[in-house]
Amino acid sequence: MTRFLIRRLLRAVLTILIVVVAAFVALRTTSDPAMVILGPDAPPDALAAFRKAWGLDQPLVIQFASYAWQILHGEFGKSMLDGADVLQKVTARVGVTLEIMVPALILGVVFGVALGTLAALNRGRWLDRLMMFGAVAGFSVPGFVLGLVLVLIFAVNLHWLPSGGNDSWTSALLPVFTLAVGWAAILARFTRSAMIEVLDQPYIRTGSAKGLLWHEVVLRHALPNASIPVVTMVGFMVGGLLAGAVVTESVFSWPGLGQLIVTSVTSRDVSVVQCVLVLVATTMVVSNMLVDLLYTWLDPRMKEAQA
Amino acid sequence: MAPSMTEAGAAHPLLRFDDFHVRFPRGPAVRGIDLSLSKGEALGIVGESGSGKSVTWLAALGLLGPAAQITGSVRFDDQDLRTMPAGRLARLRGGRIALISQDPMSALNPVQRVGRQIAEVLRLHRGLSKTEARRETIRLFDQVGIPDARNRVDLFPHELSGGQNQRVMIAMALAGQPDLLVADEPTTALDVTIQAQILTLLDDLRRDLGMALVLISHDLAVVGELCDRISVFYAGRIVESAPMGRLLRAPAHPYTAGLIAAAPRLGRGRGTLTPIPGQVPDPWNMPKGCAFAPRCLHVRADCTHAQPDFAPVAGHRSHLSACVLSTPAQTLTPEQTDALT
Repeated sequence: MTRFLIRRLLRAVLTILIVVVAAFVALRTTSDPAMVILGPDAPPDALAAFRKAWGLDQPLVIQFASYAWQILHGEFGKSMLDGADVLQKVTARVGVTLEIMVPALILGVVFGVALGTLAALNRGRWLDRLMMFGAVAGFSVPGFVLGLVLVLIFAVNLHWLPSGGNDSWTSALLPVFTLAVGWAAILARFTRSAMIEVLDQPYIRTGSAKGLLWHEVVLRHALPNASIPVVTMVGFMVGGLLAGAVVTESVFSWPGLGQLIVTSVTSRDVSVVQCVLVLVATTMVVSNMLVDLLYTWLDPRMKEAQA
Repeated sequence: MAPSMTEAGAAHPLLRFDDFHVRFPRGPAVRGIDLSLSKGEALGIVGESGSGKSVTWLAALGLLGPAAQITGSVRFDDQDLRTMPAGRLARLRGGRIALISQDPMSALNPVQRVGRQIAEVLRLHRGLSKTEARRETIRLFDQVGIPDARNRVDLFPHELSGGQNQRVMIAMALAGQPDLLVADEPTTALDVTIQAQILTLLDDLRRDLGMALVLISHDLAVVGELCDRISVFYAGRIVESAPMGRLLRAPAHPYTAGLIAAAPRLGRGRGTLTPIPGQVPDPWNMPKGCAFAPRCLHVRADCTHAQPDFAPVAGHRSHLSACVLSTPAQTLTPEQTDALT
């Protein structure tokens, strides 16, 4: 188990390192931040001064070395755009993103698992078909389309809800709903197939043969076992929480991390983009590790497989 | 306690099927079974796969799901299992009627400790507390011959061998203190040496606890070892039923004779196996008359007209057969039996 942990930890660090290097190189070689930030009409000496101030005139290797040194000391630098502290700028947005992501994920998990279970228990009947039709529709429609349709109905036509921004709690309703629909749809299908596989196992009949009522069999022997793959899926969703809101936040002009990524990429505010990428990569890697640990705890057969 | 418990005897069978049918969308699986079982009796059920031998018992216990259409009656201790409310039937299972099945590895929940799975039965049927249930589980493990019971109860099924898992299944069945234990191919998935151990264990437990045992198997030798009486299933019906010794010595139905001839026996030499030609008819394509007629070496013209009666063989009230050769009043002569085998 310890060896497994160490191996996973090393792999996690390597993954983050690769992300950092790739982002660093890509951002600096695809265009010139000085040109983008100061504008094409900026005088050459201003450009040179900017490059010198931010170290952009140094060779890439040197730039990376000093950047890595900074990160290791918890320093993510200042925004090239306004000189603000990058870490503060980013962490302020994390909270705003989580405000819609967390409720959406909770709703998605609750409804996805409940509907998927219900569909599996009614396999082949009209309820199952109706719900699976809904699920396919739910994840086939892209988030931005659903978001725009919702805005059109509830903001433009009915004037019940604001079309965007973050002014009151009602602004969160549409983005939360949009995100939740997508997740619920994926989880409903996933839960259904996991449940159907479990319900076909001989130990389900053992449950009935023991004297359990059907709902007791489902609650004690089917759902816990079917939840194992579902937990994995939810883990991946948690990992993608911070990055996943780019589209939704743009549609609803929600001032979270997703919007920050979009604006800082277009304006080549490289230190901000790098910080966000490190943050996103870290959450993904950490949540994947947690999923692995949870998996071995939920399914004792996995312990053997690792050893 | 139910009144019939005190009036034990043949007049009050523990379990009784009358004209029992099970039909699936693809065709009939059980086509009219009459069968009874007394308290403490060991009954063997033999037949090829698809003969309806397992389906009969699963249907009786309400374990087949909505696709199965069941008609006729099955009475346990004078209560009709088919008309009983689902909740009461559920609580009868695992309590007075226990079932163990073929593959113990997949019949146990892979992510729960085996002790917990048995404690579940103890708490459900005997209302034991958590600590009492644990103590009783350890006692049951000892009883079914699992060594180091105290530690084994905390293991998962994949950490035990197939034979030990089957012992766990038997312990689980005993946990409800059953009057009837239905063992559906309990040794098929196990090694031969383990098979013998499990069969001996079942036999010992039945005698010690006085419960009735139904042993379902495709293997006549397995059943013959343990059972007082054997019923032979073919294509959804019982074709022959007799006390064990008599059935093996003087089978009245050509199918039974064929099964005996087809069974491998050590020391009989090579080339002595006689397979039964052909295959069991498909449920949706049953022949008119005797279902075995297409494979029977002794088929006569009247075999294909009507299903022969399931009637006593001459001079033996407890030996019944459904064959024109053995009814109304004639069993196979020794020469005929030899000719069959």
